[in-house]
Amino acid sequence: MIEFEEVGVDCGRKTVLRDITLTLGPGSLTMLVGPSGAGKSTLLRLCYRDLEPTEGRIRFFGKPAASGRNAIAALRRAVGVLPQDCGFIEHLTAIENVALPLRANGVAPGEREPDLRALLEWVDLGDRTDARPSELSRSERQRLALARAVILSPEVLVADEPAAGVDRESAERLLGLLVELNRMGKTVLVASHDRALARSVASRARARVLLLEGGRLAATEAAA
Amino acid sequence: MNLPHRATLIGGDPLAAGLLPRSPRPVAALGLVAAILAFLAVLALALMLAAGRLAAGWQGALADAATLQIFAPEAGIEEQARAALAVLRETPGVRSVRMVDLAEQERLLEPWLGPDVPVESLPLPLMVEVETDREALDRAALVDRLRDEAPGAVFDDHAAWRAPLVAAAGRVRLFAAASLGLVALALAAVAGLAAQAAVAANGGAIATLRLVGARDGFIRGALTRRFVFAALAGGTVGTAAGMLLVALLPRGSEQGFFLAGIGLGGWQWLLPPLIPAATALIAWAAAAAAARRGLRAWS
Repeated sequence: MIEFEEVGVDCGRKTVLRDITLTLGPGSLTMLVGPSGAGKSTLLRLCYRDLEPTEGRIRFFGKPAASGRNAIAALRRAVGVLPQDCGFIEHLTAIENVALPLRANGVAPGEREPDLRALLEWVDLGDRTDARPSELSRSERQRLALARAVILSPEVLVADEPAAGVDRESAERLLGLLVELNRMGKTVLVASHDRALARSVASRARARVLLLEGGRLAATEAAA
Repeated sequence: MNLPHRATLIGGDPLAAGLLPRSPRPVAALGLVAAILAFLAVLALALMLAAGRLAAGWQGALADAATLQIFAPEAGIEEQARAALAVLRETPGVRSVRMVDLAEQERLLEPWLGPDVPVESLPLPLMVEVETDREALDRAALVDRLRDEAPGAVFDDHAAWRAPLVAAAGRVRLFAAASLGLVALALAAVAGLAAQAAVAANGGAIATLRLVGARDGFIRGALTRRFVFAALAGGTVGTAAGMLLVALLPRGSEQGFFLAGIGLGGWQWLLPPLIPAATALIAWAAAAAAARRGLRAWS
């Protein structure tokens, strides 16, 4: 699905990532753990081309990255993203935010309304469809962002610290949804600073845990 | 490419409507500016068309009109008139001649002298209205013959006053066309600035749209469509007001007083209704260009 080959990222004088060689195979579940500043978010941003590597190459779905904004837009239809800050359009309702990828890709939300409602039910927000994102708790916002990330049925899903700032129970619930998606055949990459939580996911799913330190992949902690 | 993306024309993709937060002030400001500029555009257009019409008149039918005035003592005036008329009738390029009687001269002079002046007591010359074919007429030869055979006759083909008026009308037309260009430029500048501000103010929403796979064309549509509709609405109001004013302007009089001729006639009334569409088009082009630049910089 996504292959990193000796990838490095420099931001000015600072090296954020170096020598990353990694393959996210079809249907895999990967937990990327590491302390703050280790480069987890940067690595995730490379997956949906919010950032381009300064060294090495990345192949997406067996092909080298094509140039141009339209190619990036096309990739983002195949790679669902659950960003750390959720990134909602705040004046839209929950269901309108979930419908954004549809509208952005030429599908009238009305055509897919049953799917939208079913998806919101799945993330346990069936009764909050008309709420504004600002009216939702952190945990609810994360689940709403997850619903938006999967509405186009992407093959790959990347989640940046989805459990940050939520209680243990909510975190487990959200990670449970990610595991469920993986079981449906989606390739899932989750970044988390919480090593225990990552181990917990790995113990109940065929997940591998990668440790990122100082911009390098330090170890594979656990494998299925 | 699917249909909704091909539909990203002037109004933008309808699916992009309402995606960005409402920003009533810049939109209302653009609508107001569009209304004012459309109003001015109607006036400039009317001025341009009127100047063109007058210039065409002065160069066309009026250019073929001439007058012959015969100044002579009462005793010899009839003889000179007969001689002058004979010369005119024999001259190639003279289509017709007609004596202007005293009553008609009174009518012509009344606007300048007032109704109570006893015109018959004035030492008026005999007047002959001459219609010529400018191409065929040898003016110099005619003047020479008149000098020999009717020395009191003065031939005037109005060239002395017509040429500067035609030149002035041409300049007025140019000025009006330049005004239309400046109006378009001002609208483009305002729409461009509004779109630039919209890009700056909606950074978060733009990032979100990109995150979910929106193409820049779609985002551009979301940014510009409200400006296009504001320009269209403002342009329509301004054009309607401008047309009303032009319709209320005094009509051209027989004396052809220049300012009284400003207005629209016949098919020319079909032109102002194009202004709102042009306003929307200019606003769209300028806003889309500014949004494109802004989005590229955002990358």
